[in-house]
Amino acid sequence: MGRKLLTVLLAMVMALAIAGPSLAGDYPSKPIKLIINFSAGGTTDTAARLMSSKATEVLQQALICMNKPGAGGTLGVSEVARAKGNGYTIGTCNMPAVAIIPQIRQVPYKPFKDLVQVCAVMPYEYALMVRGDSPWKTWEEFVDHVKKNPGKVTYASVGTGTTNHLVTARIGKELGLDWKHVPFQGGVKETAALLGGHVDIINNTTASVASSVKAGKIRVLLVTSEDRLKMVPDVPTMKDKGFKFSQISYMSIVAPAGTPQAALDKLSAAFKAACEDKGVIKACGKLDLHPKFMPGKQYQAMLEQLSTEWGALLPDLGVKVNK
Amino acid sequence: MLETLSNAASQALTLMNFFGAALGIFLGSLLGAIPGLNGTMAIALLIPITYTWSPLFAIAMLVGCWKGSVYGGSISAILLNAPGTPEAAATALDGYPLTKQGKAGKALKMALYASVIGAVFSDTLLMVASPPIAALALMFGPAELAMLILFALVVVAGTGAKSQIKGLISTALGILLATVGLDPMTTQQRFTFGSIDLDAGIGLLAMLIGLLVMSEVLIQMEEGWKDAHAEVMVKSDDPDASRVTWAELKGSLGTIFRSSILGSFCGALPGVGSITAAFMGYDQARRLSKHPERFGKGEIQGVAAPEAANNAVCGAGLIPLVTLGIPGALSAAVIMGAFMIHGLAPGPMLMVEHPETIYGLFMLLILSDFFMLVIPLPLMKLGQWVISVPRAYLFPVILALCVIGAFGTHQNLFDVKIMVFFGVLGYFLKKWELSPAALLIAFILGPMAEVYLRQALKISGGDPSIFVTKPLAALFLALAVGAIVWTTLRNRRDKKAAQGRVLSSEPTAQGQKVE
Repeated sequence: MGRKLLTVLLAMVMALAIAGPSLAGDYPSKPIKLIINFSAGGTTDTAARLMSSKATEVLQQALICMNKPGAGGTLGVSEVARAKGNGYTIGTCNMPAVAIIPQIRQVPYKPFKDLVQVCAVMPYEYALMVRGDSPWKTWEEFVDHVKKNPGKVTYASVGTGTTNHLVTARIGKELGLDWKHVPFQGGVKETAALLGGHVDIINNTTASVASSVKAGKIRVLLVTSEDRLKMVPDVPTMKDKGFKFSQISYMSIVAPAGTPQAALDKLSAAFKAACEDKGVIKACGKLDLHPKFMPGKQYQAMLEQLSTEWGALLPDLGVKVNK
Repeated sequence: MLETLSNAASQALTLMNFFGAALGIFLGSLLGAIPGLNGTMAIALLIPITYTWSPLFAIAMLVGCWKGSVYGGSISAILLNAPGTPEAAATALDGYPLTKQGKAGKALKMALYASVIGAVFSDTLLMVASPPIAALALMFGPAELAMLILFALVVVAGTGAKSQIKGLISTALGILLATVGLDPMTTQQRFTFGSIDLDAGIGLLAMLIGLLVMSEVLIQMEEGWKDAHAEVMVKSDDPDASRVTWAELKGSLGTIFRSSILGSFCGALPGVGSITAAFMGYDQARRLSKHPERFGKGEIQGVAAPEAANNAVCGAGLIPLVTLGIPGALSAAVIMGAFMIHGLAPGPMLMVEHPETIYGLFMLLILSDFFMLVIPLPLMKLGQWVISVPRAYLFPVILALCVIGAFGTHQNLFDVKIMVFFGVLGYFLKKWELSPAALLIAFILGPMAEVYLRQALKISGGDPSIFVTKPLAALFLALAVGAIVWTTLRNRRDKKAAQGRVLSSEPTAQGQKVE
């Protein structure tokens, strides 16, 4: 009897562990797999899950979220590129995974051939930030400090070849700043290093540090994404300061190349509804995330342009390029 | 303040929330106890479900699940020498020898008591001392962390190996394997051989399942080849073999307390983690013991120390999360998602904007620690019964679970291949008496040492004096040097003593190893 019980128990555990989406004809006729290319608990994951609940309502089919994080988002994206283009596997995507990283190192997908951008759903918002108790109240004061102390000031990014790194390096190049880049593995460690006073300035997404900004522990000096932030409306953007570029990366939805146009249209409409849904906007707003829809074709063109623009600059910014 | 606390209590201390915490602990310890499956997987599977629940219920359940799994891992570590979770790798070192002596019940209960004490200690710190601890944690920048990790590497390298040389071989192999993936500073590929799957490095969980669980199955299969119906466990009729005596608990309290402090410290530092905590806890117990030679052979303090340390990581891991918005441990990062989806943005404003929810959560956490004294008891019984099942029936099931566990974390078949590779490697490591545990800890600490060292040198502009001019960095560097000197001196003394013995009495012992 004991042995039987054990067999049943273990079988139940196994069944639980391998219970995945059940596979079952007009699109969508079965659940859609959404591969999130960052880990559970982060901003991309949270935004994707908040949006997918609304998109599920519109599509009348479940979106099954799966996290496939790692290697700057390329792991998740390559999984989408590898999938069948039938509309049942889609994923989230960040700008560097398509426009920058493939120029730095080998990736098993051709970013503009194997993937199609369904739509962009949310611009990531970035800024250059210093500690709340640091003496620099404005961007000019900080630049002044760097110029007076050549080779002493450190800036941190979330890794080499990320937009955080490239944009900050390019700012330094245009202003002729002699400062040092310290790459961290992700925003969490970067923020900890700033708060602990181990680096002088960081470029990070603003949503992840919203609470610290409100508490005065972190001061935003310059908004590096395109538009001013709801969180700190008085802080100038790079455009305000006369720079001709900014830090543009959207969270977008990608599908494998060959996905039928009808499916792409339906998916795009569902995510448009999600981006414009009051409930989604409110839930995201609490986390300082601000969904904004952009059609896939428009975003794809933008990515191609960004890819050329940044690609030409990489060697100048000290990044090794993959030949 | 009092009003906040009473409101927090009325919000948190409901039957439903208790049920959530209890359910979390049960699920966590169950999945933790099953070799191959683990708590991180349980939390990742649970998290999307919790999005529609109340924040307290959801977070209490997730944290319960985390704690439960950290304890649960010790059950299979002790009974089968196959740690159910990576945190329990150090627990197996003395837990399994105890099982072989028929003292499985004693080891399981000691692990439970130590776990609960560690958890209560850490949750209390979380509730009363979060701001100063968070401030202390922030003082650890790249230079300080580099030296701290160096110190950790010096003290725990080679744990579980038969000799120093074999310990060093395992350590070097672990560090080498950890370099696979993207270079942390330049993000160029290293040893990836064109495989995108390797860009993310060798998956820790998949590797662990292979190295610690599958290898053990292979070893024990071989042992059981001749007698497939042999039972794994020795039975003992001594009632003391299945309980912790008062004297043993009292004797272990110092160790448990020190381990709790160590564990809380490791938890509060972002990225150091519970595996490191467990090994450091084990090491301090061995070093400060009057009988260090008993460790690895079934010393009860060797079970208490890592279990108190790894459970103390959980509560403290939430300290930087609630005060700074920075998760202190891997599972804390996943739990951060549960905070966010409920509109609780982690960071310094959390306590200001939602004090009742946060204090309510703290109370719930401390209370749920006491549930841990009761909830895993049936699992213990079940576990002891499972190992009385003949190996021929048990091991195929464990192997299947290893495959599921390796696949389940990221639904990636590549992880299964990694698991099998390390299963076979682990088999040979065990055969050659090279400690898989030493490889594991080096695999975890090696890349940290590399990243922090290179970051610190970037900050200083290549000047190594940063490691001595920063006081905390200098302190840990001195500790590391001190530990090397101390070990060398002790080894020399032991050698002399051993030679003395050889010369004076037993001529037959001459050929024996003395290390």
